[in-house]
Amino acid sequence: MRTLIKLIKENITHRDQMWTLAKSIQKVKFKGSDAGFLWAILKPTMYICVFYFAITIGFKSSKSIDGLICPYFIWLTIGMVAFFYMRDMILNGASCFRKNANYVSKAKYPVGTLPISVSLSYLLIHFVMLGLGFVICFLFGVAPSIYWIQIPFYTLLMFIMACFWSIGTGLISVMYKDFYNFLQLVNQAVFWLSAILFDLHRLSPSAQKVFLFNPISYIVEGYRNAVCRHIWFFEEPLKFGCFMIVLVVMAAVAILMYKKLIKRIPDVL
Amino acid sequence: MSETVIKLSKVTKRYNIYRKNIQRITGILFGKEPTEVKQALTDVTLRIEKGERVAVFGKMDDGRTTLLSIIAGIYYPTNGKVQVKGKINAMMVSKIGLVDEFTCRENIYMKANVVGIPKKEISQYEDEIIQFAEMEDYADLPLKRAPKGTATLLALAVHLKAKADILIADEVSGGGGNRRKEKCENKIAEYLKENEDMTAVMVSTRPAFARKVCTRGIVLQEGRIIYDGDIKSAVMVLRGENLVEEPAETEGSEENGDIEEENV
Repeated sequence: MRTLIKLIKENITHRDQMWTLAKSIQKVKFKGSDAGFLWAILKPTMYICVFYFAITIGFKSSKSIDGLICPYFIWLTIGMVAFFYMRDMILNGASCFRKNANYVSKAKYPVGTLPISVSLSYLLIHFVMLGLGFVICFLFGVAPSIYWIQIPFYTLLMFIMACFWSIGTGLISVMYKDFYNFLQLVNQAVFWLSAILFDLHRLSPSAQKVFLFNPISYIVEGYRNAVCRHIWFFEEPLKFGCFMIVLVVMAAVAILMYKKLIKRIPDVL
Repeated sequence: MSETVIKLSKVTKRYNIYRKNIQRITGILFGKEPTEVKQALTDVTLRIEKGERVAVFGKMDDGRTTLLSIIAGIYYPTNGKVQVKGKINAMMVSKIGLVDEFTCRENIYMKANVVGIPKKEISQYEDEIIQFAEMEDYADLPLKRAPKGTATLLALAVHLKAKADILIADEVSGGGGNRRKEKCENKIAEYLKENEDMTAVMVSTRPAFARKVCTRGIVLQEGRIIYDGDIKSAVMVLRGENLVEEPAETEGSEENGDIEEENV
């Protein structure tokens, strides 16, 4: 607990440095290209369109989603907007120390802010994507509702999860490079294992139980429940409880790793 | 009465080397023995008083950078105790935080962020930094288009705007030609003259410069302090050990051999 408090304090004290680095991470990526930041949005947009055409025109399976109060495309878009952030964070979070090795081993920099800076930098893209998602909703005639206020709540949960993920996996990746390669492999499978393209409710009850402990599925479902199904998070307490268990375990492991490894990583990087 | 601001008690630093990655993580988590151990510092005990200017000498691999990094709080000692009183401004590697694709002007802010200077504060010195780094013609061009050595000057100029009690400098005049090196050294000398209370610990491969700004010298050899005393004697010990040759202190010294290149 003391480590967590210390980490939070470090991030609050150095919030300006954390925020500036977060902005510059995205700026560096697109510096020098004419379209710049637009590339960050174009790539996922293209992804959504390809899946939409493949599923609705190719497989003609859009009618299989039950209880939707919006078109299938909205269901797909909203879920994918949430998923893209988590997909980005799986690898970029895990490389938060490795990619910023000089900050760790050659400068007096608040190292504890690095995972948060990386999580925050991709959140900026997420907000733009979310804005785009809302515009698509309006274009399809989906009006905002009170349920939409859950979106910031799910975003916050997703951001906290990304921060702990980055702390834990970022440190392990420094110490054990194969772990990062393993994550690259897993990243390919996560998309299909997180119910992004198919409806969880159509699965057998036992299969649904497995997904209870997939935090990515929970967040994606949460976004969709807010926009496409109008379900409150407290209406599904079991799902929320399971997600919180996963989050607490993730946080505990991340903090333990931080306590054990943070003083060692300058020697390795 | 003098006040101790840096105190190292029996500081030892060992780098554990593991042949396989999995051995490293199991070694750290479950205390498994490393394949090899590299001893960087051994039983270093040191007291530095407020306002003292200390030069650290030694060969490559003698532990100079490790010692400075431990004082700066970048590395942690394996054994021993480190006590530092006051805010540190650590100039270890000038290029950190700088982005080649960003303009020189943008890089002022990037560097300031690494150093911890708020945007509002550094913006007051923008013109001064541009002038010192000789990048008036390149200010709005990418840093990679600027002449070699610009980054070093820019980094130094930004670093010296940080509010700190202790300056840690590891061969800050490293990049660029001799003229730029001298410019950096003069800037540091001027800065230290203006900030009399500031404590400074620096590594320099140019003893002439060290003698100009420091009063105390420490000579390291294989991670141990073999001399700690006045700067003139430290340089003599250094020469006796034939570690670094000092360039002639004449106006034409720019044209003489580059000592730093011989040692780094």
